[in-house]
Amino acid sequence: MSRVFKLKSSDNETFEVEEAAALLSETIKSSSSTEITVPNVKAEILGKVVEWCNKHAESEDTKDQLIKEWDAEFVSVDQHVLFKLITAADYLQIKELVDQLTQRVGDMIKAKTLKTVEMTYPTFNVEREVQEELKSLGF
Amino acid sequence: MDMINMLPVECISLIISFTSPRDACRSSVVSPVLRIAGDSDFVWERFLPQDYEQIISQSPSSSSLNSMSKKNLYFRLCSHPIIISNGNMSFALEKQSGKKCYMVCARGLTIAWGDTPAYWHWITLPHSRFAEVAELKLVWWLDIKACIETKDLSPGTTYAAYLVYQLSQHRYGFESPLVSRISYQQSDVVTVHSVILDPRPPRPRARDRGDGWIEVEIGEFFVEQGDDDDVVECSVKEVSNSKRGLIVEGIEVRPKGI
Repeated sequence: MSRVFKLKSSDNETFEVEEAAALLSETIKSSSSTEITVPNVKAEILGKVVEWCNKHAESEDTKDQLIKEWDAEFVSVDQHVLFKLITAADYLQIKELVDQLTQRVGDMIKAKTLKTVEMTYPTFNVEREVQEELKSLGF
Repeated sequence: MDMINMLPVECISLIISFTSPRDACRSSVVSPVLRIAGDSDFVWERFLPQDYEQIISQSPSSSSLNSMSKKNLYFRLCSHPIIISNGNMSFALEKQSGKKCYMVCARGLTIAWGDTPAYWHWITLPHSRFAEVAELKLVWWLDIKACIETKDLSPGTTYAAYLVYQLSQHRYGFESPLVSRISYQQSDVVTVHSVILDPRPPRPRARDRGDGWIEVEIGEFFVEQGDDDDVVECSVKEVSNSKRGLIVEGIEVRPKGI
């Protein structure tokens, strides 16, 4: 009989998660309780993380093409959502999810659809410093 | 919205490690947090080749290389090729991609009649990276070949091979074409071109490397996996007229046209 875990978001919504999905999280794995509150993570985001865990727990072979496509869809979200998902996945220590999400951000930076400068100080223009640094390194 | 500062620095480093050396350098200028993440050994170890430690261990300067930060090591290997393989090869990185570049020195090449002093002699030149270079006195049968194991190269890469050489003042016979050839030992794939080492008037194909040597492209080849246990042969050959005055530094392979 598998255990059921209860994950509580910062806005007090509770998600019930089956053991196989829940144990994808190292944080949950090493917790002594089956009720875990995830601070700073709202229901909208926690729900998506639970969805990912459920999907990955039910799929036997994670190298399957279908799940790769599902994963690709999963990370194709707005950058604000992406960053919140990373925070949640990192807190819950779900390594594969963190890898997928951070890879997605990395790809966006490489494809120049996301600039690192936008992620920090949107009104701060550092382009000149950036060009000087690149030039000094021979790029 | 200060998105990136809400992430732990380990996540930021992970993100940057999925970009490129150039993107990592860009990021480092933007904010203190990005600089810490972007300059980290974690990130730059991902940009270095997987087997970099094993390669560096063959170099006489391995202890000073090992004491550098991974970022400094990366840039060092891009600008200062290291000598490995008992002095027979040099190793460097291509800056944009971190892919491997090798030069096989003249002693590591198969040079027909190379051990016959009447035809070739071996000299030391200050601007060579190697202990010796081969100088051609006179030969009809010119056949110079490099064999490179594909497992040493970066997978998923189109490489080009170059003859790195100089021509002395009293050179003769290199105005005509040589046959340049790339082949794999284990398959039937062969590409053949012709190259002219001493074009008159000088043409852009034979070009100045900026390190005291000139080079000409022998051909290109694609490395799929790199663990296929195969060997690529890159050669130039001309056997129908007499030639003299060629100085061979080596044959280099590096990623094509990045």
